[in-house]
Amino acid sequence: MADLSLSEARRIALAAQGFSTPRNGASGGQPPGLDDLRRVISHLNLLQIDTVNVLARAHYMPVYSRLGPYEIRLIDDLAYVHRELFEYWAHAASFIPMRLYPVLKHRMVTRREKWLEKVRTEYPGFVERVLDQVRERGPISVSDLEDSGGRTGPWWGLSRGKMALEWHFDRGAIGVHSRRNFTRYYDLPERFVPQEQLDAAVLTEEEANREMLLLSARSHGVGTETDLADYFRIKTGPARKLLKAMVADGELEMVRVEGWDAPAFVLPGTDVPPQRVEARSVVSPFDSLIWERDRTERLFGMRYRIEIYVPAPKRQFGYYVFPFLMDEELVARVDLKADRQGKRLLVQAAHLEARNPQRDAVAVAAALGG
Amino acid sequence: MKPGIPKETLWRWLRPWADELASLARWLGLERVVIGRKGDLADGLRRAVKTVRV
Repeated sequence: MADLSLSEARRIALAAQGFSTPRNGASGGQPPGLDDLRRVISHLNLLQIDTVNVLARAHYMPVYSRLGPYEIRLIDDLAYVHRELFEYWAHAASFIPMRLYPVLKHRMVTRREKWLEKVRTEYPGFVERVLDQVRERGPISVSDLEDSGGRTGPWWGLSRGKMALEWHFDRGAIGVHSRRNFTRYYDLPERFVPQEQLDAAVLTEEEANREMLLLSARSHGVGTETDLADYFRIKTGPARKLLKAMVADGELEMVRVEGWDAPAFVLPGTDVPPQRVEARSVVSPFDSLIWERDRTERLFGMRYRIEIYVPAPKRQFGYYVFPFLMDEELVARVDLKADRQGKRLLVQAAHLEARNPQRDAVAVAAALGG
Repeated sequence: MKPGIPKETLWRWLRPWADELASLARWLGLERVVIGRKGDLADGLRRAVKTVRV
């Protein structure tokens, strides 16, 4: 088993996550375009979607962190015009490259959310009628349903119409055709998913998990069992068994990383990039670089927790906190909010990342004042 | 953050951070960066932001 220093592991991870190409470096100083976006997606393999919109929609931020200012419509175009991305459950709700549709098909067969089942049992025939409406009038949103029900149900305020749509979405019977103002418009997959992906065979659970673990290893560069399993949210039990087999088959190699208790995995032939990563960017809480909080602490020494659900008086660093990536380290964190009406970017809190309890942050102000 | 970071280093860091925040603001269609009072970096960052244009 080979050894990696922590700084080597960090560089491998940052390069795998697409931070080693300087902003505008690939496009010769031109604004980032579709090919730059495709390059980022090829590194990440998915973009997490979330409703939080304190600064910008969650899936737009990781691309900004890697490319700098780009036209937001490029992601929408890639998904809904070029059909190179589709929406499904990967890490969480995610944009995923369309070529991975066959890999995720297995989840469409097996994914069953108990809380969504209630809409079928409590309203007999309702989910069938909803599917009929999508078939007849798709793409449609929940508000286009004849009887979507009010948002008064016990299920996180979701209407039964929304639940029925999600029930079918989980099964792959319908997909997200497009969005308008972030509202999902659903349609039958055969109307917008390329035929090649629809025709591809459904992988077995083991084949699908194996493929996803390989993708995780590529996107992480180096990662432990829990890191790799978390990327596509695979249960650690099956992941452990598969990783062992993948090492035996030569698909992955085990390495030791300085300071990590658990062994890590890399793709065969993984080298430490010779060039130091020169990144300067805020990193979104929904960025795959920092999804797995234990990994963030192991790699960067930063104890990061999202505090959206923490009552305000108990928050340590703020509501929507972005670590600041400086070259190969997370060196600070800022609590950001877009005040759209006042056209202001509010930095509500700014903390130096300090492992040194005796740091003298006042020195910063003094240095600037002098 | 390592113990005993020189002041020059901190200053060298803060300007790029201010530039990044200004760039982010422009991208989001915002016109100003406003730094609050919370956090040990707030005062330094506020001064650095004054030196950059959104």
